[in-house]
Amino acid sequence: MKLRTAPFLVVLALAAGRLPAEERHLGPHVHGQATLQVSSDGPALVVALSIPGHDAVGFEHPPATTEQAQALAKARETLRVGKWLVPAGGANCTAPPAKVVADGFDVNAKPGGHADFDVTYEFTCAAPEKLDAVEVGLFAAFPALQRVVVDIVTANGATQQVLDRPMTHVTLSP
Amino acid sequence: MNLISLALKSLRQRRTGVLLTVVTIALSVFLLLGVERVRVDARRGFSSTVSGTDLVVGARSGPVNLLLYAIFHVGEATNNITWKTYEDIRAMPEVSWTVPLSLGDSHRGFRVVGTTTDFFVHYHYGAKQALSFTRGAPFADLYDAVIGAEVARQLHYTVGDSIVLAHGLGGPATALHADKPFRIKGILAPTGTPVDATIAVSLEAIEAIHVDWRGGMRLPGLEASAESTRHMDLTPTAITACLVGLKSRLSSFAVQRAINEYPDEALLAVLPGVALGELWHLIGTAENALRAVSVMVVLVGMSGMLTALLAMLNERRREMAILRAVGASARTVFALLVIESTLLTTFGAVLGCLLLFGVVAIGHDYLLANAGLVLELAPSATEWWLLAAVIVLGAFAGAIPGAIAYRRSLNDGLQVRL
Amino acid sequence: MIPYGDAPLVSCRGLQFKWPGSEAMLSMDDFAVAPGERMFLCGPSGSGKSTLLGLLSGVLRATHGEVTVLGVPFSALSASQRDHFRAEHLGYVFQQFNLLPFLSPVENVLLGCAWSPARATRAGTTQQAQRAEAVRLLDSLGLVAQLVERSRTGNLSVGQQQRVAVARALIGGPQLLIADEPTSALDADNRDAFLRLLLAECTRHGTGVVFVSHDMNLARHFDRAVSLGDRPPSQMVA
Ligand SMILES: Nc1ncnc2c1ncn2[C@@H]1O[C@H](COP(=O)(O)OP(=O)(O)O)[C@@H](O)[C@H]1O
Ligand SMILES: [Mg+2]
Ligand SMILES: [Zn+2]
Repeated sequence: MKLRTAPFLVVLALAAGRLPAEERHLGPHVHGQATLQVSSDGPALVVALSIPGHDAVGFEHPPATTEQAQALAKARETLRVGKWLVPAGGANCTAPPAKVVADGFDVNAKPGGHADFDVTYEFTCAAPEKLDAVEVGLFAAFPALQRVVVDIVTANGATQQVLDRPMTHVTLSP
Repeated sequence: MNLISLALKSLRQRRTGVLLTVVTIALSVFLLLGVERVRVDARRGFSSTVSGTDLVVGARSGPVNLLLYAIFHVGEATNNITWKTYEDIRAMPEVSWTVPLSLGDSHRGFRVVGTTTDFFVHYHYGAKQALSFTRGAPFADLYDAVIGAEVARQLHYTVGDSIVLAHGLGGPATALHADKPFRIKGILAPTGTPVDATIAVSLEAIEAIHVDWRGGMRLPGLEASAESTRHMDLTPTAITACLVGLKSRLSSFAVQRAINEYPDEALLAVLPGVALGELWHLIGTAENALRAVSVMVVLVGMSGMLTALLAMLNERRREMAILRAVGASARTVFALLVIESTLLTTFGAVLGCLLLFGVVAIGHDYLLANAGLVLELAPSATEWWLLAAVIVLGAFAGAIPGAIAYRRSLNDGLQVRL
Repeated sequence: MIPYGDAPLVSCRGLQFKWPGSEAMLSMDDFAVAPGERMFLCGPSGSGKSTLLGLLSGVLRATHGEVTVLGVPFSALSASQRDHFRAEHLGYVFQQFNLLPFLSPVENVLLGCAWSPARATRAGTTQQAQRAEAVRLLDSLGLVAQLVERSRTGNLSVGQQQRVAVARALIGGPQLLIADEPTSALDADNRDAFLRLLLAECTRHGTGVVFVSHDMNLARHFDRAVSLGDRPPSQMVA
C-alpha cells in the first residue's frame, strides 16, 4: 500500500504547487482516445484510465441540464464499478470499487478548458502467473470512444498496444 | 502399388529436372523462412536491447529521439541533464538505482560513454542478461576504459592497450585528448546490442579530459596534466541521459509522469519497451517490403515448378495412357499429378528448412559478432505455418497440370497422339 | 471362368462414335465376340480400329448405340465404373511403349492388377503369389527369370517389352484381351513366335482376344477376321 500511494506524494513534491492539479492528465487530451496504463508486479495489478469528458459524457463543462448531470453521474458510476475491465479469468483478480476523479466538471472549472475522468483500479490477483491478458470493454461502455492507447508494464518489460473500436483484448504476456 | 510410391518412382526417373525444381523451391523456402527468422529475431533482439531498465531519462525531445541517442548512440542530444536534476531523480523514493550516461566523445568511430560501474551491474539486455567480461574487469582507475566486443574485434585491442579519445564524434579535423590516454581495463562479451560498439569510462574521466576545455577547444596556457587532474573535483555538471530502475514496476507510470513534469528542467522519461516498439514501427515498413519480396520469390519458385511439371506433361502422355489402360481413372491421373507437385514442394520445403538450419548453425556466431543478431535454431510457430502454406500452395499448383492431364485422358482415349 | 453365363463376350448394337471436331464417324451395326473367341480386326490406317478398341475398353463413350461387354451395357455405367470394369476384366496391349520405364518388368506386370483387388486375388492371394504368377507369365511368354529380375525395363528389346506388356494384360486372367497392333514394331520371325505364345496363354485362361493389325498374314492364327472400312478382308480364315 505504501508503494502505491508514494508516487502521488512524489508528484506533489516535484510539482510543488507550480502546476494546477487539474492539468495532471495521464496522457495527451485527444478526443475519441482514452489512455490506459496497466502495470503488474507480483499479485498487484494496477490499471489507470484517463478518458476525455467528450467521450465519456459528451461535454466538457459543468453540467448545465439535468440530463447532463445524469450523464455525469452515470459515467462516474460506470467508472467506479469498473465492470468494463476484466483481467484474465484464471488469474482470479479482485478490486475494490475505484475512486473516480472528474477534472473540469465542477463549477469553478475554467471555461473553455478540457475535462476528463481519471480512475485507478487496484487489483489483487490470487494466481498472477495466469494473468496473461485483460479484456477492455470501454468501447461498449462509451460509444463515442474510438481508440484506447494501452501502455503496459509487466515482468516482461514495457509495451504499448492500441485498441481501435471494437477491439477488447490486451495481451500482457509477450 | 500405391500412388505415392508410383509418383516417387516416376520422379526418380526424371531426377535431373526434379532436382532442379526441388532446389528452386528449397531456395525460395530458405529465403522465406530466413527472412521471417531474421525479422522476428532481429525484432526480439532489438526490443530487448535494454531490459530490466524501467525508464530512460533525458532532456525533453521525442521518445524515439531519446532512445536513439541514449541507447543506440545515433545522433546527439539537443540538451543535457544537470547533475542536480540527476541527483533529484536518484533521490526519489521509488527509485532503486540510476546509471548516468555521458556521451559526446569517440574513439576511431566508436562512441565513448561516461558512466559509473553500476552500468555493468544494471544494464541488462535480452532475457535480463547482465553484461559480462571476456577479459579484465570494470574500470577502477580514472584513466581506465572498458571496451565492447565489437571494438576489441575490429581494432584488435586487448587488455592493457593504451588508447586516446577524440573530442566529439570524430571526423577529419578532430581534436584528440592526447594528453590523457586511457588504458583498456576490460573487454565485454558480445551482446548484440549497441554496447558492443562502445567504450565505457567513468564519469569523472569525462570530466577529467575536459577540465581544460571550453567550447570544444583546449584553453591555451591552462593545460592540466593527466596527473594533476586527479586531484581536482571531478563531479560532473551535466550528463546526457540516465537509466532508472524502480523498486516496483507499479510506480513506473507515476515516476515517469513525475519526471516529465519536473519543474526545474524539461525532461523526458520513456518506458524503453514502448519507445523501442515505436522505433521498430518506423522500421516496420522495410520489414514488410522484405517479407513481400520473399513471398514473391516463393511464387516464382512455384511457377518454376509449374513450368517444369507442364513441360514434362507432354512426354508423360504415354505414362498416363498406360495407367488408364490398366484401369486407372482420369481422377487418379489428376491425383497423381497433385501428389507429385505436393511431393516436390515438400522435398523443397524440407531441403529449404535443412539449408536454413545449416546456415544458422554455421553462421550463428558470426552473425552475433558481426551483426549483433542472435538467430534461433528452431523454426517458430509462424514458420511452421508458412511451411504448411507453401506445401498447400504446391498442392494447388499441381491441380493445374492435373486438370490438363485429366481432360486429356478423357478426350484422347488410350491413343497418344503426339 | 466367365461369370456372366453364355452371353457374348462383346456385342455392339447400332454403335456410332464421332470424335469432337471431326466429321469422320465410326459406325458398327452389329459386332460380336463370343467368349474365348479370337478375333482379328483389320482395316486401313484411320479406319477407326483404335477408336473401336477405346469404345470396347470403356475409355470412350459411344455417341449412339450400345457396347455390352460380359453382358454389362456400358451406357449404364459411369466413367469410373467403366474404369473399374476395365481394371477387373480387360487387358490392353499398345503398339509399343507399353511399359513404365521407372518400374521393373515384374512391377510393370503387377500394374495389370493394381486397380482391381478382385483381379489381384485371382492372380494370387498374397503379394508373393502375385509376384510368382507374374514371373510365371513372363516365363511362359519366353522371358527367362534371370533376364526379368536383372534387367531395367528400359534395357529390354522391343520384342521383350511387348511380351512384358502381354503378361501385364493377362495377369489375373481377364476375360478379354485387347491388342492394338502389338506386333507392328516386331520383325517377322519374332512376330509369329510372339503371337503363338500370346494366343497359347489366352487359350489357357479362356481369354477372348480382339487383335488389331494391318498385317493380313497374321489373320490365319485367329478364329475370325473382321475388316473395318473399305478394304475387304481378302485373306480371311475361318
Ligand atoms: N483423340 C482424337 N481426337 C479427334 N479425332 C481423333 C482422335 N483419335 C482419332 N481420331 C480420328 O478418328 C479417326 C480414326 O482414327 P483411329 O481410330 O486412330 O484409326 P486407326 O486406329 O484405324 O488408324 C481418324 O480420322 C482420326 O483422325
Ligand atoms: Mg490405330
Ligand atoms: Zn572531448
